[in-house]
Parts: sequence; structure tokens; C-alpha cells
Amino acid sequence: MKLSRAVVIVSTCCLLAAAARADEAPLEGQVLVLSAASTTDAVDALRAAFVKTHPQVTVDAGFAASSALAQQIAAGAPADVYLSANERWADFLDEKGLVARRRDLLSNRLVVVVADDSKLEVKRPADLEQQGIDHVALADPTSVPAGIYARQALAELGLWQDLEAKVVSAADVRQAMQLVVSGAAEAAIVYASDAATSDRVRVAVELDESLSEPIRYPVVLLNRGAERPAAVAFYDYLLSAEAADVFRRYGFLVMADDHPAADAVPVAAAQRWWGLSRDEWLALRLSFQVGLCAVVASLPVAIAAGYVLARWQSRAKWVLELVVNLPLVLPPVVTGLLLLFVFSPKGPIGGALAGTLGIEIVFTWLGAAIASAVVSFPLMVRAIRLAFQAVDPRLEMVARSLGAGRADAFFSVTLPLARSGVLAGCVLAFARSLGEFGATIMVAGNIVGETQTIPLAIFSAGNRPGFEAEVWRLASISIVLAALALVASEWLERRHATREST
Amino acid sequence: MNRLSFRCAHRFAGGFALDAAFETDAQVTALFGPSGSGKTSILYMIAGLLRPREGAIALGKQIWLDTRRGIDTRPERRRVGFVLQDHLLFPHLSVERNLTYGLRRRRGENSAIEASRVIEVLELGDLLARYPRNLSGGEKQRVALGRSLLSGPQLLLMDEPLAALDAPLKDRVLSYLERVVEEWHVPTIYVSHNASEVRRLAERVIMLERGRVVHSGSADELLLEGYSPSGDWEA
Repeated sequence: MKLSRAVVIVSTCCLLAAAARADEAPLEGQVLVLSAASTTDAVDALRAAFVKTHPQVTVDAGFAASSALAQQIAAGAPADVYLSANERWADFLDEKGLVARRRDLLSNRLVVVVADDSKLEVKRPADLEQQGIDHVALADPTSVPAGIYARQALAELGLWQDLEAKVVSAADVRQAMQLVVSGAAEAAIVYASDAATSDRVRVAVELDESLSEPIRYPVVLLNRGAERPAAVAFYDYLLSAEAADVFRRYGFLVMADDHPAADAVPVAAAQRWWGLSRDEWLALRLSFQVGLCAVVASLPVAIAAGYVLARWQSRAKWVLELVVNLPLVLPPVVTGLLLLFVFSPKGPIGGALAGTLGIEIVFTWLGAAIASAVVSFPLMVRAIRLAFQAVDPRLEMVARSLGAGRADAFFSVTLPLARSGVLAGCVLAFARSLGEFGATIMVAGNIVGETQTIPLAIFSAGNRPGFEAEVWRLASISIVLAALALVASEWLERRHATREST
Repeated sequence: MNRLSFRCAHRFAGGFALDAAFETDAQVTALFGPSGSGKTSILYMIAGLLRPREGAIALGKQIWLDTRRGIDTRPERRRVGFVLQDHLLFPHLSVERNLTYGLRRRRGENSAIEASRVIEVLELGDLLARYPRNLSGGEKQRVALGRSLLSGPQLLLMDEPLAALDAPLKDRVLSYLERVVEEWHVPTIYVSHNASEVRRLAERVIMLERGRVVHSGSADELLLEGYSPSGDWEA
């Protein structure tokens, strides 16, 4: 039977993928760094340099606002090293008893940037009040360090009251700068190091360091990392003179270092339109791996739910219907939040899995697969249910009277007759998995090569100036895959309708 | 011949109430009555596919259903062959696989019914490789009949097996039915509202109206009592 063969092939692929991952990365050789968004380019360069001299080590990195990362770590993200854009969030982890070692590594300055081709005259901070400026982008001034510092500086200058209405709050400092590049905001207050990475913005004003509390980037070796020699080695490497050079090249001031910053070099992003970069390939492969596993894992449950919904007459059916369809209308972020609660190492299921099997779900690709499975489940059930409804229930009755048990009748008559619909449901769910974003970023984070699927890669690239080509390349791939999936599921359902009509 | 005894009461969601009791040991027993009189529901209850609110069904010494004692034998254990008006062949299986579906699921019962003989009597030899969608109405009905026989049934249930066929075809399939009865002597409950069919096949007739047995007796005496022998009940 075609269906069972497909199931076998798909599950084999998943097992191979899982096995391959386990082989290529022995536990002690894998390091996860969670790092403030403003350090993206420097840390990417550093981990590339580090693995060149330590080929047996893999360094994965996740970049977001320091606040988000700290909360993810507190929730049980398996991180080894944390580089925060302020001391507060390092203190936060310290209070939770998660910190083994820490040291102030970098400092930074705030600058006002405008678009490179902007005609606005901005010479001093007060110029932000002028008429041509309707939006000033900051990283979220309530929680993200860059935003907090910017707010302090503006308050110190007596400008906050007047400018507050113009403030556009971005998720992190990279996004704030991206708002200027895209023209959504006329100006932004960002770190000097971020401004240095883009030639699409220019620094209009440098804000005096005394205006805000000192901007310090503590690097933290987490308890988990302290137990792993590879993580300790990477932590030490971040403190080395070699790393200091790299940080300076990206516009940072290195603490306890008297040398002035070297001229910052704008990062030239890969501008090729053809071919995919290594990270893009990883995102693509990971998307398929996550999607396939999500489909295989939810298929048996979806078949059971679809069958019950198609055949049950009970009034209690609406409860099942509600549960099945909830992920369809729930904001994916809420779904992700619930999954994070359940599967985190402190949660009911995550704790049991970690304790008995040593399996980590949160911030691994398994977490991404679970998020995709849950979010795509309603689509799968819908298609399967319709397929079952199209099968005459009396065929099953005839099978029973011919000597087949309930399960036998289901597997020999009903399921084969519904197979096109079941396959269509799988294709739809797979396509939905490829597009999953909200729940995935909550449960699995955004770690290149580990949990960064195509939509997350698009999101990250969209926040990095100069990565437009990458964004559009990945977006095109998404559009093509989605269209193919729709055509395939439509074709399967139509084939079902025309054939076997007697 | 094993005696079938039936006594069931059930109220359907639509309000229709069935409360019928009969016994028969005839070779072919007809359930005869207008549509909506409860004939088909009785067949489903005998087959174990519809559970009445209360009642008892037994074939010989086997108790299939006794709601008071909590007995309800599963349909696949009752070994009844069910032939319906619209044949209900499995569309995804060839004629051969349809025929052997029940055969492969026999539970070691001894049955005198052999595949080769069924294929011969019902003249199915040329159809084996085909699929249901490529069969005519009469052919489908013959395959459905063969499929039921090959499951080794203790009892055959036929729900208006000829109603969907046109007149000349009806006659041919009817003669196949007669052959089957002659050859294997499987007790048969035959539902119909066509008097001439009933007269030709059945020895015994149970007449139903609005969910109740209104009369029962031999085919000859009942059908001569005021019902046109050739036309339908409604005619």
C-alpha cells in the first residue's frame, strides 16, 4: 500500500537525520552561545574563527534582545555562554544561581543614526524634535538594554517628555536600525557598533557616555557551560586578545583596554542572488527535517481524531472539535508559550523527559518539530476528516459482517479508501510546518543550524542591514514551496474525488 | 435447520418505534412490507450492526443478543452474510480480492462453501481481475452475493438485492439466488416489498407495518390475501 510505504520512508529519514545529528556532535563538543543582537556580526566572526582551531567543536549561536535571551535561559534554554548588552540581565541570572563566572567584556556608545541619503539636519540631540522627524526608533525602552540606555540619555538631556510620542519601539537594536534603513523611521538611537556595520545609515550625533549609566557587556559562563570543557574554552577565547581585535573591528570598545577602537569596517553581506550560503542551506535542511518529523509524529493522532470526528455522533464531539481546532485560531505565540511551559525542563512533560530519557525539547530542533506539529495539526485533521466522511460507513459494516474486527475493517477498508485525503493532509501540514514562526521562536529560539528554520532565518536576515538579497532569496524559496504544497494537496484531493466513484 | 428467533424493541432518534418479534426455521424467510416499516433495521440488528434498546436474538443454540443478560456478540463473530441493494463492493479491491475478503477472515469454521464452486455457480470466472467500477449492476450484485457466501455464513441477509436492477436483469439475478439456495441451503432472510419476488423465493413470509409484525405464515396463503401477486406493495 502506497501510504504505508510513504510512512516508512519518511520515518526512516527522520531517524537518519536524528542519528546523524547525534553522531556529528558528541555532547561535550557542542557549545550554545546566546548573545545580544548588537553583537551578531562580531560573535559570528568569532565562532567561525574558534571552530577553525577547534574542528571537533560546534558553536551554535542565538541572537535576540538580551532581555529575551535571559528569560529563555531562566526558562531552561540549554545555553553555555551568554553575552548580555547590560549588567542588569546578567544580574538577573546571577540571582537565579545560574552563573558560574562573569566578566565585563565590552563597552559601547550610543549614537543617533539617520538614513545614509537623509536630507535632515541632525547635529545635536535636540534636533530630533524638528518637524521632519516623526518617528525615532529605539529598542524597547522598557526592557531591552539599548532602549533603556537611550531613554536614560534622552531624559538626562530633558528631551524624553517631548520625544516620547515619536518613539517607535523595536524588538532589539538591529530592528531599530532596520526601521531607519527601510524608511519607517527617520532616526534611531543605536550602539556605535551597530551603526558601524551598515553603510546604509550614517552617524549624525554621538551621545556623551555620561548621559546614561555605563554601557557594559558582561560575558557570562553559565553553570551548564562550566561543566563542559569546550564551553569554557570558548568563554576564555572571548576574553583573549585575539577576540578583542575582532570586537574592535566591529566597533566595540574592549574593557580594560587602553587602545582606541580601530576604524570600524562595514560588514559586506553576501550579495549574491544565486546559490545559498551555508546558513541558508542549514535553515532549508532543518525546515525539512522539522516538517517531516512533525508530520510523522502527528499523523497517527490526526488519523484517530479525524476518524472520531467523522464518525462519532455523540454530543461531546464539540469538545474534541474545540481542542483540535484551537491551534488554528490561537496566536502562535500563545501556543508557543503553553508548549514552553509544558516542555521546559521544569515543566511537567519536559521535566519527565529530561529526567528519564535525557531528552531536551526546549531550544532544540525537537522543540521546533513539536511546535510545528501542534500548529499544523488542525489542517491535517480537517483534510483527513473530510476524507473519512466521504467513505460510506456501510462499507465498514459490510466488512464487519464478513468477519473483520473493528480495527481490521478500518485498516483494510476505510483507511485505504481515505488515503488520498490523508496524504493531502500530510502535505498541507508539512507546508504549514515550513511556515511556522511564532510558536517555534518561543519554544526553540532562533539558533543557526539548530533551530533556525526558513521563516526564522528570514526574520533574522531582515533585521540585519545589507542582507536584503538573503531575505528575498529565502522568501522566494518559501513562496515556491508553499505553492507546490497547495498544488499537490489539491491534486491529491481531486484524484480522490474522480477515482473510485462507482 | 437452525431456528432464528428475534424479539427486539427500539426507538429511533426520528421518533420511529420498532417492536417486533418472530421465529423462523424456513429456508428462505421474507420480511415483507412497505418502505419505512422497519425491515432493514431488523436486518441490521440481526447482523449486530445496530443495537436495539432491548431485546434478544438467537440462532439455534447461539445467543447473539440478550440485553437483559448483557450479551452482544460482535458482528464479525455472528457470521452472517449481508447483501444490500447497492451491493457495497470495496471499490479499491479487485473482484477477486472482494470475493476472498471474507474467505481470508474465516475463523476455522467448517463450511461446505468452496470458492471454486461459488465462482462456477455465479459465473464469476471472467470478472475476477476487474474492479467494481467496471462491472454492470447485475455483475456487481452477483459478486456481492459471492463475497457473502465465501465468508462461510450461517445466515444470509438480503436487503432488496434486486431493487436497483431493471426487469430483465432482476429475473436473471433471481435465478442465481435460486441456484444459491438450492446448492448450499444457507438459511436466508430476504427483505423486499415486491410480492412476485417474495412468492418465487420465500417459503415463509413475515409482514411488517410501522415497526410491528402484522401477519406471518406461508408465502402462498399470505400473498393471496388481497395483495396483487405481481406488483409492488404500493401498487
